[in-house]
This record gives sequence, structure tokens and C-alpha cells, in this order.
Amino acid sequence: MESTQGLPLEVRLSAYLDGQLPEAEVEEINAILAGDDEARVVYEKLKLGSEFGARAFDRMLQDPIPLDLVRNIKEAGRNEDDPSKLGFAAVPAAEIPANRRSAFWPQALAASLVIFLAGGAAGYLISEQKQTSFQAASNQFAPARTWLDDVAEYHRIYSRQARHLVEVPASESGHIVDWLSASTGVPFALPDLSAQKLTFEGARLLVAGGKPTAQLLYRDAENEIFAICFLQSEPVEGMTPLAESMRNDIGLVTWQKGKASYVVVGPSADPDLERIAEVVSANI
Amino acid sequence: MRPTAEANEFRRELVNLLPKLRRFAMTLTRNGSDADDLVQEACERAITRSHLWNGEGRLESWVYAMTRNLWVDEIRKRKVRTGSGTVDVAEQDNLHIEASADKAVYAKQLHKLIMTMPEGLSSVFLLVNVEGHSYREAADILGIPIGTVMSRLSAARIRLATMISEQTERRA
Repeated sequence: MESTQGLPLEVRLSAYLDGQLPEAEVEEINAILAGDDEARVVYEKLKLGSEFGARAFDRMLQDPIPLDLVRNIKEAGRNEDDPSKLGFAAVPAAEIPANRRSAFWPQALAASLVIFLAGGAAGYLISEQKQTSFQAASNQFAPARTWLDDVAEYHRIYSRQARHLVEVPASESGHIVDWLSASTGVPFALPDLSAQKLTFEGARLLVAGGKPTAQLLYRDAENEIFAICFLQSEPVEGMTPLAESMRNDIGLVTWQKGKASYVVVGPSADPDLERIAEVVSANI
Repeated sequence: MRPTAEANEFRRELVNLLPKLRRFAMTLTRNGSDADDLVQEACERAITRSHLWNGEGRLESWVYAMTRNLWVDEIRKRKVRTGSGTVDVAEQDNLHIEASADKAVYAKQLHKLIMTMPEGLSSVFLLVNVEGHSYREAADILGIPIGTVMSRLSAARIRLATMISEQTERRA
């Protein structure tokens, strides 16, 4: 690392915070911090900004990723004759307004807001109680969780269980329907997804968002695992539109119908997830 | 052209990177739809140039640099087309930090808060402070000198600390 001599103190303190100062300058900064109250205030401010910003940016990773984006990446460049373009090139230059909104953005924003309002705000908004220290203030930016986070984590774990994928095997389909209908309070029929080349493997009972949640597991020809999960929720009239989101490598398509919430879970890279969800929502 | 299995694996890695790519794009565009378009275009370019990726280092650094270059190009095009467009902070000698237009809104949404940071500050902060890139890596990705990385990082931290302090005082 090059010398930072001559740079403003806050820049040097920031480099000190990162352990990026040349060794010869570390003792100099130690001495400044030991004897200069103003320098210590600046250093604490840098630490606070560092911690708070890291939490805020981490929160952004929980945003739902539009599956259209995933689909387009999977398909990009596969058909060189395809005249359709992606990204900025998809819109003629003269037609780009200052704040163009893509077709999927309202849906993604809505999904994001739902998740945000469900708990994210609690992590962001400062407590009504008076906080006097920087540390106390920054500690309130806790990440929010929803039942979908639980479902995604279960899926990540169970989909890797080669020998113990399910709790009750597909051979006991009748029992699965009786057991999970009674446990969740959500009557259902087992969707036949053979047209989507998915084989029913069996089921589990989970706890997601603090509620009993049914998990029906399917396997495709490439050994990828897909799941349908549902639980009781606040009643809605009719059925809500399908909403796509992503948790890193896990894709989710959710909807509500009557007194239940549903989600189809699968690999985020699978472009057919929404089509599977459409079939499930019509047949479950 | 890459063998299918290898090409599929590359695409899968890109898909897994999407949340981070999208977050990085947001620090450049500070606009959701532009960020999604930018990510899409960057991924398409990465796929068509995947034979150039040697597998060393972090894939995200390679794609980030591509993303940043595409955004600079896009800004230039918009300036030519309309005589306006977002000012590319990476090309400015001096940063001008504008006050938030609507603090009541960003007080309720983290995104808004992050988006009020100038591009030059938030990108550097994300790369170094959040994702652990070295100063040199961040400088290479953003096409700026290390000294600028250092000064922007320090400015970003001070600004974020000021934001949280202001919020705390308002709530007190």
C-alpha cells in the first residue's frame, strides 16, 4: 500500500479501519487516536457508517429478482437468428424516457413492498425510543424474515437429501392428503405434474412463518427438486396473481387463494417455474 | 462456442450472481428499471464473451467491470441523444453531493436511502466495505485511481453515518 501522508485525516482513518494503511503509518494513527478527541469522533463516525451501510446493502440482496431476468439470461445468445434484443438495446433510443419502467418492474416492486412491509420496515425504521449511541441506532437494522424465507431454506436443505428427501413417500398419497389437509387446515388435491415431466416423490410437514406448512416434493428428469408449499393465511377474495421472486439460487412463485397462501419452489435458473405454478394453481 | 454443459454452468453462475449484480447496478443507475436493463445487457455480453473468462479471480469482478463500462457507454449515448442524462460521477473530478429530495420517503425505505448516495460513493462503498474487494480491485472495476477509491469510501462512510444520526435525532 502506498503512503497516505498528505491525504485528509478521515481518508487515512478510513484506510486504517480497513487495515490498508502502510505499516509505518499505523503507529502514527494509533498515536493520533490516543491523543485527539476530534480524530476519535471521526473514526467512530466512519465505523458507524461502515456498519450501517453494510447492513443496508445486505438487505438489498433479499429483494426479489424478476424471473424474466433469469429466463432471458438462460436464453440469451442461444438463437443467433432471433432479432429480439435485451437490455437497453431493446428500446429505440428516442423512446427512452428519463424513468422508463419495464413491464416486470411494477410486479417486482409490489412483491418487494409486500415483503418490505411485512417486516422489513421494522428493521429499518428507528425505534421510537430515544437512542443515544451510534451503536444502539445501527443495531436496529435487522433483516426481516417471512414464511417464504423459511420455505426457501427448507428447500435448499431438503432438495439435497438423496435418501431422505421426503417424510412420507408418494406411495402413501391418500394418507398425505388426509394428513396435510388436517395439519394445515388447507384442503387440497395432489397436482399431477407428469405433463411437466415432474414426478411426485412425497411430502413433509414444515413450520414456516410459525405456521404448519405442507411441502409436496417433485423431481424432474435432471434430478432437480421442485416443491409446492402452502399454509393457512388471511382470506382473500378469489385468487391473487402469480408473483415471482428469488432467494439466491431458489426461485419462488407465490399466490393466495381463499384462506391459503401457496408457493412453487425450484431452482432459480429454471425458466419453467411460472408455467409449473400456473398448472399447480389451477389444480391443487 | 463453448460446449453446452460448460455454457450452461456459466449461465447458472451468472444467475446465482444476479442479486449481487443487480445491487451493484443499482448503485450505478439508482433506478430499478435501468438497473434491470443494465444487468440484462451485461449478462448477455458476459455470455457472448464467456470464452474470454479464464476462471481466475472472481467472476463478479469481471462482470462488474463490464457492467460499469456498459453504463458509462449508455450515459454517453443518452447525453448525445438528448443533451442530458445522469452525470457519470466516475468521470467527475469533484463530487457534488445533493441533498435528498424527499427525506420522508427514504426514511421508510432502505433502497431510497441508498439511492440518495451519489453513484461514485455507493459503488465504492459496496465493492470495498460490503463485498470485500481490495482498493485495487475496486479501482480496476470502476476505472478510477486508488486515491479516488479511498476518498470516496471515506466520504460514503461519513455520509451514511450522518444519515443514521439524522434519523436518530428526528426520532428522538
